[in-house]
Amino acid sequence: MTIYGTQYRPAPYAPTSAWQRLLPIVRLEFTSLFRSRWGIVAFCLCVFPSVIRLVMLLAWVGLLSFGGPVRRMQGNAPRELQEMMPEGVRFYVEPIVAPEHGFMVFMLLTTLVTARAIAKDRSTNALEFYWTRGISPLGYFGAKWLGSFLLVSTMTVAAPLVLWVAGSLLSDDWTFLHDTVGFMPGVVAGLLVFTASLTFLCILLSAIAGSPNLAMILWCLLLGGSWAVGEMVQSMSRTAGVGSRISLFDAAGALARALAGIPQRGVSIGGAAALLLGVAAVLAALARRRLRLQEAVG
Amino acid sequence: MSDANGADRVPLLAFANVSKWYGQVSALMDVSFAVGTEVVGLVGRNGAGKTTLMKLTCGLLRPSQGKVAVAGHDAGSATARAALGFCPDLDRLYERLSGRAFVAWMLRLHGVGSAQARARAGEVLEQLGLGADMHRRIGQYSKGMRQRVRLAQALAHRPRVVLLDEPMTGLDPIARHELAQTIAQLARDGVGVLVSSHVLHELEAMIGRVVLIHQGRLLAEGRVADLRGQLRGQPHRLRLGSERPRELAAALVRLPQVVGVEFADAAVQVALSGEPGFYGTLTALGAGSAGLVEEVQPLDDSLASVFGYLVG
Repeated sequence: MTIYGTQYRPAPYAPTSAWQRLLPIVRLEFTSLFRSRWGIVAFCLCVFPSVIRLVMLLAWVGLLSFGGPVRRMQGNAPRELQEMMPEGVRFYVEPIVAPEHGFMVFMLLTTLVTARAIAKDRSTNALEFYWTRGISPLGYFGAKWLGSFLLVSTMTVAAPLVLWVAGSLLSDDWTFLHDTVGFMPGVVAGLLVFTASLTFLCILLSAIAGSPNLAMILWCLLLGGSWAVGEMVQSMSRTAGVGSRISLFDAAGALARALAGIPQRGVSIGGAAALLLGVAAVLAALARRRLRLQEAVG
Repeated sequence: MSDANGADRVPLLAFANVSKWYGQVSALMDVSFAVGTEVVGLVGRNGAGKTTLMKLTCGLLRPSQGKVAVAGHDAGSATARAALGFCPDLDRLYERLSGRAFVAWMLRLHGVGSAQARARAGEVLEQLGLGADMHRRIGQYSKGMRQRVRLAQALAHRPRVVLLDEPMTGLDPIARHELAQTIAQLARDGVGVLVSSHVLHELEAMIGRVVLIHQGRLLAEGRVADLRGQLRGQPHRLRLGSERPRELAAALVRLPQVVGVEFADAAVQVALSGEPGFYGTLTALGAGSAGLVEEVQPLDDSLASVFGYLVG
């Protein structure tokens, strides 16, 4: 069979695994925030709460002095403050999942990265490039979600983990490690579930939206709106835990706390999981129609 | 098919009795054609079935009937996709990536390693004349440069078949000329190129053959001149340059093949029936009287004319 001239040499077909071809998409998504100046500024803003906790940790171990090691003074502190000290599980979980602490950081990060991930490709018709290269819609969606999840996890999972490791290494003795190592697997699992579930919902919304701006607005409305409604209903009904059945952020937070072993009053874990699964099912049904192969070319 | 040496050839892109229905609506009906190492134009009005044909080639759609093969493999298979380069028509790319990073990234989607992808991306951009600008962001590129980047990503993995959707859109005349030369060179180097375009005169300048699609059916396939020759029912129109147009017109109207004569600036435009013998008489007229026939220019041998006659 002679079908080619002397200059051009077609590449021989070399089978490659799906993972090998999806990995660049994961990497592109993971680094998406760092390709613009504003993205880097946003990332630094998101790091700021972790820096405050690092300062607290350094003060607690005595490396920063505010009139003596906080560790020795905490016995006189109020109970709420004592629970937020580095040797307590809440120090690692609450700054991420409590609306008053972690909501803005999470909202900022997911709105800027996750909500734009697929909508951006649709609006620029980049889906053509993927589909015609044999990237399946499911593989593409999975890679986009993984890249975005890993990026958001740097704030929600890696940062608390780094604080814990730092606390263990900076402590005078092994007491800190001994006291905290028991709950850390639960903390990590809880924060992973928290991040995975909310980024999953966000990227489903991104797959549905026609433009990145629309996706960002829809995500803010869904996350912020459900939280606001949850707060309103809770204050009107005066029933503890009702917010976790309405607010997506509170529902994911309830799951994270449950896995970390933090007691919660009046919270239904089943209700929180059902809310997240229900919303995910509706969004997934819509996203499936929007990510068909036929959507590309012409 | 066999080449001059008698070696076997397979068509690089083959449609064999392909039909495609969307429910009750038929988008393509029994379409058969083949593309070898050549540039073939794909022409048709909006809604004619060009997009469906491209989707079938890319493997995004499955034919309802028939078979589509890319380099001998079923369209949509991993081997067929590796052998196909697709250049879309939309002028929107990842603006924040450099030209080289974008092409390298497209290569990585084919499973090419990082270092190898960067090297190959640089090489193909160099070949397409973007060597000096490959490190600049795509957002800073001109339309011509962006078109080259799109072409580069289609060629970087060294495909056997290249599918170009409106490749000339937005290009200035120089860039169009250069791109046409690049495409023609591809075919000379052994690539099968299928070009879809609405700009028929530009398409004509670069293609060897044309595939005309109308209402989902293959209307005609072949060289433009051959197709025009087969349109016996349509009068040929010629422009005959002359120093004495009135004298020439008087001589022409007496000929049985001439069905109409019009005067133009220092010329006569004549419409001919399909009957033979006109050109022999015209040669005799020109030889018998100096200056009577100075120039003969066919007016409707173009792709646009053929397309117009066929689809009405």
